Amino acid sequence: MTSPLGPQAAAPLDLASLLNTAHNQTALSGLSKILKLLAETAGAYGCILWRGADFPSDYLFALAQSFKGGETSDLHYISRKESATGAAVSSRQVRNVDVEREILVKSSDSFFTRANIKHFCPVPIQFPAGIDGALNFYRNVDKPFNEHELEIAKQVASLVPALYQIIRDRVGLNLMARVNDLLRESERASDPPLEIDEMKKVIDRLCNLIRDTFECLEVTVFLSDKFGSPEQYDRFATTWPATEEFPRNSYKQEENSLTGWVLLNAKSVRIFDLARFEDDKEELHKIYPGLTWQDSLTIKSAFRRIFNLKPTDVLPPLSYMAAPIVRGDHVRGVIRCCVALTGPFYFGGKEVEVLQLLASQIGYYWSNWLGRRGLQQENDWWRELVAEVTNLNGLVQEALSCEPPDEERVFKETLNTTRRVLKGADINDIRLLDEKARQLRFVAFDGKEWDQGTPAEIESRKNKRFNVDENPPTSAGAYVFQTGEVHVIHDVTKAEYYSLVFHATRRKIVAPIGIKNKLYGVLDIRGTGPDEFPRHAGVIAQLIGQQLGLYHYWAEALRELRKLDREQTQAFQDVEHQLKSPVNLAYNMINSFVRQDLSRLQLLLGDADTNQKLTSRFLVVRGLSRKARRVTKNMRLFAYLARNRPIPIKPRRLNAEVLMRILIEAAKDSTRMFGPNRNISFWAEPDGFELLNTLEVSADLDLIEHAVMNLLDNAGKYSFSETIVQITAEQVRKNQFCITVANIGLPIRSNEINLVVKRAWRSEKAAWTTGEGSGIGLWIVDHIMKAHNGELVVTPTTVDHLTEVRLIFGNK
Amino acid sequence: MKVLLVEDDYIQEDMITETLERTFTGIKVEKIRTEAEFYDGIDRIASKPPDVVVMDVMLRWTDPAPNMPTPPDKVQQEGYPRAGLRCADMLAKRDETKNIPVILFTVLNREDLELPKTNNSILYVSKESDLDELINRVRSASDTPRQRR
Repeated sequence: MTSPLGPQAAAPLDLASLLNTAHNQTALSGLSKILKLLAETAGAYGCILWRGADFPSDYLFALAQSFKGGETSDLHYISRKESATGAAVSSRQVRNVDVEREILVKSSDSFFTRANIKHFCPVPIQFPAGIDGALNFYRNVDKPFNEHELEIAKQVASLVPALYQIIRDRVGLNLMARVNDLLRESERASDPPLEIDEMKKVIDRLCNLIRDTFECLEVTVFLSDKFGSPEQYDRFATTWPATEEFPRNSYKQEENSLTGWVLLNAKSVRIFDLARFEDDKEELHKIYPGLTWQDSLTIKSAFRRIFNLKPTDVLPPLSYMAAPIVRGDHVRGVIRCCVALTGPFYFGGKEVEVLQLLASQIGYYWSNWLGRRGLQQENDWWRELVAEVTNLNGLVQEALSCEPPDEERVFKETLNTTRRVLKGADINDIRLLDEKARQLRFVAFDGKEWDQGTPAEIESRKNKRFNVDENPPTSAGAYVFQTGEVHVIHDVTKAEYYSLVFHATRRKIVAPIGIKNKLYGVLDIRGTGPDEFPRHAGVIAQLIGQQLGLYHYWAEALRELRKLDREQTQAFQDVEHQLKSPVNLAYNMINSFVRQDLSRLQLLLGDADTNQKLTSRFLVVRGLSRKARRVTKNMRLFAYLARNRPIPIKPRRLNAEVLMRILIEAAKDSTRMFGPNRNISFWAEPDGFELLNTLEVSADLDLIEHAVMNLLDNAGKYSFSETIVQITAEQVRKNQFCITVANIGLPIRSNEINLVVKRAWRSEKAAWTTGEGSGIGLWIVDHIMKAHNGELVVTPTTVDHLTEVRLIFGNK
Repeated sequence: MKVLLVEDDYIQEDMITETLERTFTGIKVEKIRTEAEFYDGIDRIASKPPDVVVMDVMLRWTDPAPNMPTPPDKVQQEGYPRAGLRCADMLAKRDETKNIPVILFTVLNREDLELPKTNNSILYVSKESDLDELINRVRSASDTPRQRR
């Protein structure tokens, strides 16, 4: 706005333009732009806006300035009593000051000299809240302000407080809106919650926004993520130049620093100029009791470097404001701004209000993030816990599958898991109950402290015992054992029930090991560090204690079951052993008699009917003893297989004649076992067996006979009446021998082929037609074949009710 | 005397029949070999009731055949170990046969059978004992007067 009357001559006042300019400012430096317009209107080279402090002070402070050509004044404050401006403010009269002649002007001041100021007119103005000030217009031409220009100067100066307020309001509102948008945007975009580094970037952007708006050097946010009374607040984000070391990275709630005072008192602070702190201390203490600041050459040197000032140059005002970041009753942190780079050089009350509102927004956002992150962390933590316990269960299953169950490993893995899932679980152990002595004794240990000290100390510690029945209990273990509830001791020095084992212990959790009403012992978890156990530590300890109870129960049950199994197997073996001898003897005696002596007896008796009856009777007896022998042998083989032991075989070359005779006798005896009503015949076809004379087939004859007998027994039980069960032999593949038992009877379907060899399986219809039988016959035959490296092959029954079962063995 | 012998093992049946025929002159032994056969013949038994029943307990339902009768639910649920008891129960539920002495001839222990205490017609002989004991039971059962309709 250049005056038509020439440079540095007053121009008409363009109020609309001024208002528009004020409304459009987005930063406080907009005040300097307004001053520029005002200086032009007043026909001045430049102007400085002076204001008094918020408290009684002998000084006026340069709030903002604007000079042509970017010139700046290094005059930041002047004495009210010893300056022309001060005189104008005191008298509330506009003055027209000739620099050369005015007594109160130090014309030798560097600014007057440098800028060649000839004249200036201080115009007194009134800021809100009764703070006085002045708008000084300067000329560097030898042309004093005339009456008209003074009048214009007065007019434009009177607009400054309002215009300044407009700028501050607009800037403040704009800043809050932008910060709000930034925080809401980042909240919307964060599911799951942002990682800490992402959070820092958001707060960084926020600090930059504030810096650009308030035109200050430093905006720093300190935060704590702890609830309650945090011990310290750490630097979270800052606009401090990266080229300079940051003065201090954390603060506590304390009174020996400005930022610490804000944290302690949860109250905002505004300091005009830190360089004047000592001078203004008395007044400052009326507003901020106990506030202190350590004036430091280091800080001032840093500022000089940052502003590129020589040691003799005047430092700009070190203005400071800080607001606590509060959420509910808790101080979460602090935000501070320091050193305005351009005017306004001093943070006003409005700026502090805006900073407080911003701090409130940050507090909300931060607490929200902490809550969501806490929830996320908790969810993650629970997921990890489930994974750990699942993994532990797998390891325990392995350990318990050993013979005997490896309970030591179970304890060790459980203590390892405890340490991993419970932060702060430093020294841990498991104690089990000695039932007889009614004492808890240590059985497993975790933590290097267990093995510290002399051997005697270590032994004494590990052998310590705790009575569970004492009343009242003197140890936490006894207490937990009596109540069955988990016990959390936050401070062992104040614990009612506690027995010292480690001096380093600061806190402890004791959880019962047991299930339902049965307790086996306790789990001890000791913390030695400064941090409390995590929030759900008691619940976790209880869970682990219950898991241990379950594991212990399983281990005991498995030991009992295996003992029972061993006893049963031994009983089986014993019975089998007792039966084997007499049964085999009876069979052999009968067999020998039938083969060798029966015919002689028949000759002696002579009577055909009697002979037939006798023969039949002896053959039945032989058949019965053959059956008893087969059942006894099944029991023995069952005992082997039930213990997962392979069937031992004694292979020798099979003789056709011997095998044939055994099978023919077996067939005859079997025929007699099922009676004339069923009329089932058993027939062993000799052809085929002669192959054994040329084919060298090795096998355990007793076991092959036994296998065939099992097949014949099945065939007899399930064959239809009036049918024939046939035993045949053939060569299969290159060197393998095959015995086939074929019958007409109950079907074996294709989907049952794999089931028939399973232990204890019988088809439904099979159960209708015979009461006896435990379903182990084919299972044993299958194992006999496997022991021979052979096969049991069952062919599904045909439409003609024919079923064939093959035993294939021999050299592959 | 007429004895109904319910026994599924042919060798046992043969031995018991021979022993009874040798001991009791003029004895008639009717044989039933499976539980299904008993169910089919109950009316016939009731129309011409025997003097004594010798009953095996663990009976199979039927012999293998292409079209076997399906056992009733109770038979399928309880299984063959209680077949003889079911047959004895059928006799007890009919007026014509409820007073006929039934001798349970079995390898099972008496305690395992859970015999009703109130039924005096049910007698027990173990297959582990000498056949003489069975003979004595048959003799005393046939000598004991019973109410006839």
